[in-house]
Amino acid sequence: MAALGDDHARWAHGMRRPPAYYDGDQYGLGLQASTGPSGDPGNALPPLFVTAVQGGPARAAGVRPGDVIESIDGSAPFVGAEVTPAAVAALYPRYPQAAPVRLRLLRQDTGRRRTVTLKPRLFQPNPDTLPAVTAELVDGDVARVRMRGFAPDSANRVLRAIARLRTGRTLAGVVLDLRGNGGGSPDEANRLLGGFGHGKVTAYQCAADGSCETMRTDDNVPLVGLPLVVLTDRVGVAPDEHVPLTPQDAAVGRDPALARALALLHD
Amino acid sequence: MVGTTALYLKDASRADPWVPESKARELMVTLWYPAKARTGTPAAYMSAKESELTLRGKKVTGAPYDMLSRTRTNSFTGAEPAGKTGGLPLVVLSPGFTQPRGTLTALAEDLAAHGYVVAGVGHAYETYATTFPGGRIAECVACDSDSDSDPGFGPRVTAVRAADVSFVLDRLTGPDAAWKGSSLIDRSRIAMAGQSIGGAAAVESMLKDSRIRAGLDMDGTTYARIPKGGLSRPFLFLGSAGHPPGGRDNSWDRDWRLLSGWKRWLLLPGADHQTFTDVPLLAGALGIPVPGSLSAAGSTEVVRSYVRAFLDLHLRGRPQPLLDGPSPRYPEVRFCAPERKDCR
Repeated sequence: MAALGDDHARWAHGMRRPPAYYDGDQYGLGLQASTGPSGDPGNALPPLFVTAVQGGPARAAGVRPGDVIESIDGSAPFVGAEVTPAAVAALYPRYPQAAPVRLRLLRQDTGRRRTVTLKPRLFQPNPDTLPAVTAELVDGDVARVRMRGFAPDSANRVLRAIARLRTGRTLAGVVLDLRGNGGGSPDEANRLLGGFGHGKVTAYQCAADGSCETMRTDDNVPLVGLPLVVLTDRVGVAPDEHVPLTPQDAAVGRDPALARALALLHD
Repeated sequence: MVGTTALYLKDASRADPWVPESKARELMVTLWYPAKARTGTPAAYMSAKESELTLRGKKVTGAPYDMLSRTRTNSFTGAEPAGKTGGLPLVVLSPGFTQPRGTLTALAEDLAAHGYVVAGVGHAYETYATTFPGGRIAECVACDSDSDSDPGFGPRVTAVRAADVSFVLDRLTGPDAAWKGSSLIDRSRIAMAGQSIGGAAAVESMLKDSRIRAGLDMDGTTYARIPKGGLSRPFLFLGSAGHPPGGRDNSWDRDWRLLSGWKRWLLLPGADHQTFTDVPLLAGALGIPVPGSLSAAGSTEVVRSYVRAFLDLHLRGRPQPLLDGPSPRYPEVRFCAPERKDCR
């Protein structure tokens, strides 16, 4: 695996589904943390904290996003600034792994420390969090599109959703919510950005030997021609480290319509 | 003689699940029913625009795009319904994903000819084309999703369909009914059948709505969570080669253990997923191969026979030897014993 020089690749063997599996079910502890299953060597930053509670054992134990994970089965996730990949990997058991995982958690706002023991199992995540792309009209004239991953065809899905919401009404802008986005295909990111800018560099894709490929917007995509606000979080940045730099971004804070769109997200 | 009519129904109690900015869920429902005489006008299979959107969506290029609007049916639009008050059992049909409700016409007409009222539900935005009054067309917004990148998509669709079906039953059998022949329907004898995700929706609908007395799934992977206490109403799985016990899709095996009433798992190893629709009959005209290894006429006959036997048994209480075991008349149908992972 190391010879591939690709930190996206990992070895998965004997992928099996639990017999009681229903479409949409997930298996595990029911949480996501600020460092993924591969440990993200080279990118992971301390402290390790919970970014999302999907359901199951983590929800039942009252774990909340923001809880700092100080130890996993007695091991520290970071030694100094260096991640301990094996410790972090224990957060993401796969079926049929079923050994309980003990976490020491710190809730920062109260300063309270506690230890929880989570036993991996099949659970039903909140169905609203499952679709790769969801779109809705907010405040009458803002298209809010949430994109949870850059899956195949997801850029077209976003563009079609905007087109549909524009039919028969004038939109003031688009809010693209990439928070928690798990990443995916760089082609999708380039295609989506092609809807908001042409002739731009979007990212540099660098291989293990240090050679880098310049990635650019897909200029075959017609420009959407609407102001765009992109919401990201530190964790949600795709492994491809695409930075959505478009001229429209610079307008945030000056354009009242966008300021309003942004305000809508704080409710 | 079979009559047919299309109903426009609007459920103002919920926003459309696929187009949330639309504050009501609009549905088209086609009824097929026994008719007194061949009056009215011969019904079109679908409109030219629906034909075009469907063939484009399915990437069928070997026939003119309006071909399905020139396809003849055996039903008459607006023919006077025949029957006594409360005398006709009702069957709800739910089509496969992307397929217009008309693609179950061969089955629907056969059931109507044998005394059933059949309601084919057009689940808006889940098919390539649904035409509302005035010519407004709902295209397939849900087609933007797919089961690979959207885990939980199947349960989402079946939940939407179960809500659609309950609403359709309200409007067909409740006060202020939407159809002038509604009084002919026997409200105590209602069943549901569907192809593909429409069959999966039959399980979900039965769990959500106790008015549905029996259910039938034609080759659909299922998604509904049958409670541990089981589902005791009659259920029939009718599968193609892709749905043997112990096969890649675990859903029927999982559900089988929770079906606690009359149940059968029939397998047609020569069938294709589309054997249970009108596609075999249309294949010649569309310039596509007949799906599966059964003939077009054979596909239609076997599906009609087993679906009708199931409904006659459970809605009319007529014994059906066809459902007791393999029949020399239909050697292509196997009876499965999932516990032994065996069909014979």
